[in-house]
Order: sequence, then C-alpha cells, then structure tokens
Amino acid sequence: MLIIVIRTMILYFTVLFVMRVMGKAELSKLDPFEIIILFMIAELAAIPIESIDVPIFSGIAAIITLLLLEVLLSFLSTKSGRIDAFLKGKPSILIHRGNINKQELKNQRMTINDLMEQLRIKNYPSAADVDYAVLEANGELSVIPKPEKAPLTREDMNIPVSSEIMPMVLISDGNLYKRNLALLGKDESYLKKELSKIKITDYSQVFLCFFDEKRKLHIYPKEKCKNGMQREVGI
Amino acid sequence: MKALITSIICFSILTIAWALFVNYADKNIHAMTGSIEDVIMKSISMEDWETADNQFEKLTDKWHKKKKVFTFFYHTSVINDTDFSIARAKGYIKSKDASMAIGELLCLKEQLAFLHLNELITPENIF
Repeated sequence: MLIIVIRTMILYFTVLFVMRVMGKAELSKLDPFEIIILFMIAELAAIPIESIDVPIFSGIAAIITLLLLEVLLSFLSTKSGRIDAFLKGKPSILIHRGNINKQELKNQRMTINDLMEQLRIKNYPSAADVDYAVLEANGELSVIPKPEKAPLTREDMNIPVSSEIMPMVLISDGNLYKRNLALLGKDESYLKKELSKIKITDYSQVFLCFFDEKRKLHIYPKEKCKNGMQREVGI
Repeated sequence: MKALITSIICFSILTIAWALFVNYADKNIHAMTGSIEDVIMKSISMEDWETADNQFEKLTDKWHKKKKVFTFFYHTSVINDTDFSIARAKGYIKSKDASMAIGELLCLKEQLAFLHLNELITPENIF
C-alpha cells in the first residue's frame, strides 16, 4: 500500500510540474484539443498508480511527451498563423450585420435551434437584437449586440469618471504581499499607520486587507474591532 | 519560450536515459544469453553438472544485480517471469534433469532476449 502512496506522490508532483510548465494561458484556453490533452495526462498518471506492475518511468515519459508536443505546437501556433488555423480552426460568423448566415450554419452542422439556444444562454433571447454572432474556434459563441441594444455605459450617459486601479490584496490571512503594496506605490510604514488607526499592531491580526478600484482601503481583522468587523480608510 | 526549453530539456533527459539503459541492457542480456548457450547448456549436454551449477549461480547473481536497474524500465510481471524461470532451471540443474534443464534454459534465454527486444523501436513494438 505504501508503494501506491509513494507512486501517487511522484506522479502528483510530475503532473503539477507539467501543469506549471504548460502555463496559465494553456489552462485558461480550454480548447477541445487542450481538454483532451488534460484528460490524457490524467489517464496516463493514473495507470502507474493503479498498476504497480507498470514502471513509473513509462507514465512519466508519456506525460512529458504530451507536454513537449503541447508546448511545441502552441509555440509554433504563435509563430505561424497558418499552423494556428490548422491546429485550432477558424472562427465562423453565424450572424453578420443582423443576418443569419445559413450556409455557415450548415458548414458547422448547427441547426437554427442550436443557434437560438446559444443566444439565449448568452442572454440574447431575440436574434433580432444581435449584430454579430461568432462561433469561436473553441466552440464558444461570441455575441455582439446591435448598438441600440447594447448595455448603457457611463460614457453614453456622459457621466464623468475618475480613473480606477486594479483591486489589490495587501494582506491575506496574516501574510503581507509586499509586491502588491509596491505596485500601489505605498510602503509598509503607510500600511502600519492605517492599521494602527483601528488598533491593529501586527499583520497576523488581519484576515484580509485590500485596496478597491476606487483606492479605498478595506480591512477585515480576525477579531472584531470596537467599531465593527470592517473599517474603510480612503487614501 | 521558457516552457518550450523546459519541455525539450525534460524530454531529452528521458530520451538519453532510455538510450543509456537500452545500451546497458543490451550488453548485459547479451552476456547472459551467451553464458546460457555457450557454457551452461554445453555443460549440461556433456553432463558436467558441477560446471553447469557454478556457471548458473554466477548467472543468477548477475541477474539479481542487474535486476535493480531493469525494474526501472521493464514491467514487473516480465521480471518476475524471468525470476520464476531461473528458479525452475536451478531446480532442474540441481536434480540433474538434463532435458528439463535444457528446456527451461532455452525458455529463460528467450525471456531475456524478449526483455531487450521489447524496448527497441520497431514497427512490431509501435503497432
């Protein structure tokens, strides 16, 4: 039994290494092909765990080979548009300027019911509201509504807006993220000063501390402070 | 680029390790099969049981030493089958049963050859 435990650990770290090398972009894309590769890696990792008869190197060799193929083909895709199109396919425009492209629907073996279903899922129950609908290479449908049907923005209403920043977590469960603090152009002395206003003397007393997009500091202490759970401090 | 280089390095390490192992296994298995055919079987056919026994002991010791490396690349079941074959052959040699001993030694020789052949890049192995 311990043999299975040790093999599982080895393959776990191998798969973790492979996922890290593949990178965030590979995992987020989740094209049908990438999904198949991930399933294959999972299956290949499981075989040496289940059968102790199988040498562990066989599983690792197969996983590393898939990693190399996946990374190599992704790399070649970035260098050549033709290779990219060959490997992933091209997006198809199903609705163009409000007109449904029947030929393209036929090419994609999609019925009008399939298209309507996808539009409803994207919150556009009426095809008349759609300007463009694009079936992406990964199978997702992208919908661009007609300008008169698009959601209002502040720009449309001529509402003045101040610039916003990316919300950043500064302290999470007592751990300070110095890099995020530096990105905001602040230092530890500023943070300590703000924390001391609500009688917090150490980061370990903080569950969560972050800046929101409007530059307001939010602090969630681990223990309740005298004036409540949370205190906001503006810059 | 970093991911590509890392993948190529990992793949190269595996390929080089495999190539070194195949070379190592080839030399050792060739030596063992040679010993079976040229020395042990000849000794048995000449009824020189002492020489056959001594040489077979040497072969068994060599196999047990090399097995520690072979287990990294060969299936356990195949290695176990070879172990069983060695145990049977040892019994037949000890009991001076020439026909059974030679039969078992031929089987052992094929098993050892199969261990190596199974790792080679051939159409039979790929398909």
